[in-house]
Amino acid sequence: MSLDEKCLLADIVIDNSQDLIHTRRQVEQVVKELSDERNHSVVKTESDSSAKYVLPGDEITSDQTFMRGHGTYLSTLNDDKQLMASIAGVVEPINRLISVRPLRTRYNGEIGDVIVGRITEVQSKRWRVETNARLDSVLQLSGVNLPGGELRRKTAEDEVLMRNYLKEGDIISAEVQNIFDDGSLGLHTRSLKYGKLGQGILIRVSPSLVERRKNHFHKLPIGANMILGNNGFVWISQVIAEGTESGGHVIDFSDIALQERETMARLRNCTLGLAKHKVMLNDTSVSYAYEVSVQLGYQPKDLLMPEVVAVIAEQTKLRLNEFEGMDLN
Amino acid sequence: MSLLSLISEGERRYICGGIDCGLRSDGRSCDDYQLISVERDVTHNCDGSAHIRCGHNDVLVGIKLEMESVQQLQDWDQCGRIDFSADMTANASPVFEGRHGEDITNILVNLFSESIPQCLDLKSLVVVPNKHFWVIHIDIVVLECGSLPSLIDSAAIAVKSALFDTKIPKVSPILGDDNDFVVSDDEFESTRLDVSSVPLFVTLTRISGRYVVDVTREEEEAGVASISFAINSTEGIVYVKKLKSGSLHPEPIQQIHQSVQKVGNTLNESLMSKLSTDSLNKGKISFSFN
Repeated sequence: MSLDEKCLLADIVIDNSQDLIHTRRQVEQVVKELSDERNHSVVKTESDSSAKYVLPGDEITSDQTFMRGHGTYLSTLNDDKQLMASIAGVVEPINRLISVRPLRTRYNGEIGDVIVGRITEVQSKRWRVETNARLDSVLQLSGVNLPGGELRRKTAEDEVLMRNYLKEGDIISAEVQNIFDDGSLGLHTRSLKYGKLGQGILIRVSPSLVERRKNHFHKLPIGANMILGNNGFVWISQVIAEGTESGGHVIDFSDIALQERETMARLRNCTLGLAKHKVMLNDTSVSYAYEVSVQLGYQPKDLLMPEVVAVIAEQTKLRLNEFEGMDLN
Repeated sequence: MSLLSLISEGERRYICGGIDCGLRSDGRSCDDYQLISVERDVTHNCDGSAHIRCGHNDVLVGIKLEMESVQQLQDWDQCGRIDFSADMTANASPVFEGRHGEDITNILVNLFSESIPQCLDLKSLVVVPNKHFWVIHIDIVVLECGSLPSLIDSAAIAVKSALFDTKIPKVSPILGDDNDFVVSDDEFESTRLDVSSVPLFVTLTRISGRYVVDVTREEEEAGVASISFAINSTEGIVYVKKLKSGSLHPEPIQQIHQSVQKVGNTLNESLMSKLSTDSLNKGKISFSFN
């Protein structure tokens, strides 16, 4: 029920009882307070709306039948064993196991995640990739496509030619294939949409702000391409024509026009601004922020000012809440 | 800086192409600084301190005064002394743990000790002629480092702000005893240094045919080399130093002389006006020069 409908109902009730005008205002006040509770500073998904946020030292439960997961500890204060949180985050109960998932953390990879990473080392038969995780991720030679997408066994020659394809400093997009025993991630680029990335801008945000979705490669209607890596690395580049994906073997080094550069700069500043104000990043929120910044007439470099960015983030949150409100009703 | 000093060919091309057009990755032009935020008097056990945040640079400067007595009268040049030291903490990056940040701290210390002391009135630091003088210890702590060129600029602003903030206590010698003093604790009896001639640094990086001010880490990697100019409001350029190992042509450097002086003067004027007007509330001041 929307705010307006509730007020109408309240009107009818009050008219019928012939109460004074100030009572109507009281009802409006209560209804507004209830609606405000839904305007959270982090736009959450449906499953998160009932989430319990805890700080270190908060009590989670006194029930002894629960098992302790990560981020919790047993405290024997007051002769009563309580399950307390040791980090700031969201309580995640899975059957009888309670753990706390931190909001500010390094990237914890899951199989199937899309990541953007930077090559730090070239070793024999594999590359080490920096992905903002606790350990460097690994890209095996067997996990990349050879030029042209052909399938053949990797020869000794290929090992030596590894550096021709990816060397230290190169940026790649890849998918998590498996997780090794020590927790490091194994990556692969066995699809033409993954591989070495060409001209563009790399920005780093917190991994908690990128939600897991079906598609991480966005061709934004504003005129730029964006890859939202689950690990918090975001790659912004010019619009790539459909069907020219080559697995990163052919890099386009042609000049990018000034107009496109402005779009990319504005997009970069908007994304960083949203990240600073803890708004979840997806193609919708980023597009809204971009449109708001254009409507309000800001230059891309104005978006570096904290006051401006606060306004943009606020407007984006309002727009997102609007549409979320419409969906739920 | 092994892990941090990496950039891909695509990023390099994009940055160079952008600078050729006059539009950098974040929308700034080649002469634009990022927002600078300075806070004075942050450390109360120091005689003067300042904390600056500019882009990804975070620098804390603390100044302490020490009284020293003259050892060899004939070697002494009748003035006080300034001592610089810099520390690159592991806060900035685990790479800088232990002694790994020494390359950068040595550059900072050398740059400042060769340019700043000559612009201060060191004779005013003499307490008792031929006997005692003040030594100013300036400690620079780098909490976060974006790129070396922009770090130098930020550290210079912090040092100037901290020097402006420094309170030299009033010293009264005890009669009859040459080696004993009463150092006044009264804040209002302290004197300030005259920092109007202290230079600020403008470090330019050569990237693909143009000189760029206040570069980010990626832009520094895409650049050839950097030149650091120390500029003060009275004499103009007082010190020049080239950083990194790339080669630069001399003609473009001569051409940018004028614009560098202008940028330096604007920086100096903005900083001095903000510092002076703020001297009453000692709050955070933030400003940009664009």
